Amino acid sequence: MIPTIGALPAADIAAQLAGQGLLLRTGPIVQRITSRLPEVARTIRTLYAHHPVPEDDGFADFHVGVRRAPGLRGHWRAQAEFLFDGAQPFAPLPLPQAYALLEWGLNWCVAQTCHQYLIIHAAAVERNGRVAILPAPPGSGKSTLCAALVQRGWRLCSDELTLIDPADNAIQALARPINLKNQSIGLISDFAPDARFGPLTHDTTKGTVGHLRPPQDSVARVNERARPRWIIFPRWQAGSTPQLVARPKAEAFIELADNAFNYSVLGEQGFTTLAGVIDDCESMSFTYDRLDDAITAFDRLAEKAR
Amino acid sequence: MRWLQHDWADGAVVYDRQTGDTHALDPLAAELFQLPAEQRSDPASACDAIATLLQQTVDAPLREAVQEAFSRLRQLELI
Repeated sequence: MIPTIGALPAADIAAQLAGQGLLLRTGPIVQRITSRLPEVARTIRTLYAHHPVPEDDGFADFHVGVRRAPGLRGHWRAQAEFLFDGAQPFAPLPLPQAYALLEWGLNWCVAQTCHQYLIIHAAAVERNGRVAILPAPPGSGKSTLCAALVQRGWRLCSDELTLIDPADNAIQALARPINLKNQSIGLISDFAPDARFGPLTHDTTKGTVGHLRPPQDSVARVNERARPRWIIFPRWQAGSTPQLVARPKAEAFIELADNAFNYSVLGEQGFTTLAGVIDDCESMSFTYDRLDDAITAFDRLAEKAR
Repeated sequence: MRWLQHDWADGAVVYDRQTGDTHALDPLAAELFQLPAEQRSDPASACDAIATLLQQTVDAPLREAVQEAFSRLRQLELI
């Protein structure tokens, strides 16, 4: 049986992070993470509890770290820095945001380097072998809806980064923690009392953020690829009844391309990949208020597509 | 071939291999864009060609719709 991160003693995780780095595999990506921050060690152990401990063959796609800033910046209003191959790709954040910085940094690494995939800023969830892609701007309720769906039997592929393989247009899952903000945290805690969050981070530029542990089944099936079947643009609207409205395919294409991190990097391959995905999918706008109603609407779609 | 076009019943997208730009077109503009170059660059002959495709005579609403699609292609520098 392959050991999981959650089964490792906390002291081992802290020691690996402080030493040569903790290896973490999320789908096809292996990252080696270093950090001496106890909060980072504890949170990794909580949120990646179901992830297997990869065999250390010396290889990692990303070498990343999060550390207390050196010198005065580490003491006076202490800051945390994210490191990628020893370089700092973006500005430091307040130290209490160190773990969130690590998650955002890992997203950045994928978006910047994994050009073997077309990468869309979207959530992706799977049921019965078919994937729903949920692209949406911040504040639309995408992550909340994604979190609710995966607590009710949908498989989490990804909350932030949908990876599409141009070879066959299949979705490659990552099954990383879901990033929720502000009221969504309480909403999902009430909706799924067993859902496990890492510690909340307050006063970020996005408000309070909390990461939700991915379901065990989603982690176990992370390499089960599936074809997209729906592109659904969600929008939470107070008092609305759930409504799915078809969207013109060309319009959906442009919106997905606008939400892609590397559409222009891939050039013609990006165009043909996205066109193929749109060919295979129904494109819809979805307005909802209550999560239970949203789940019912999604379950109906999945049932109809069987 | 500079352009790559992908069509659906409710519209199309066009990829420009020279610039890397992508544009969405409504069905009429997409049809117009597929006409031979000499037809699509002249609104009157484009209108005739579209009327033939639709198997109807040229009338004011059609002329107006084609003119609009023509302007859209111009604006996108597709003609």
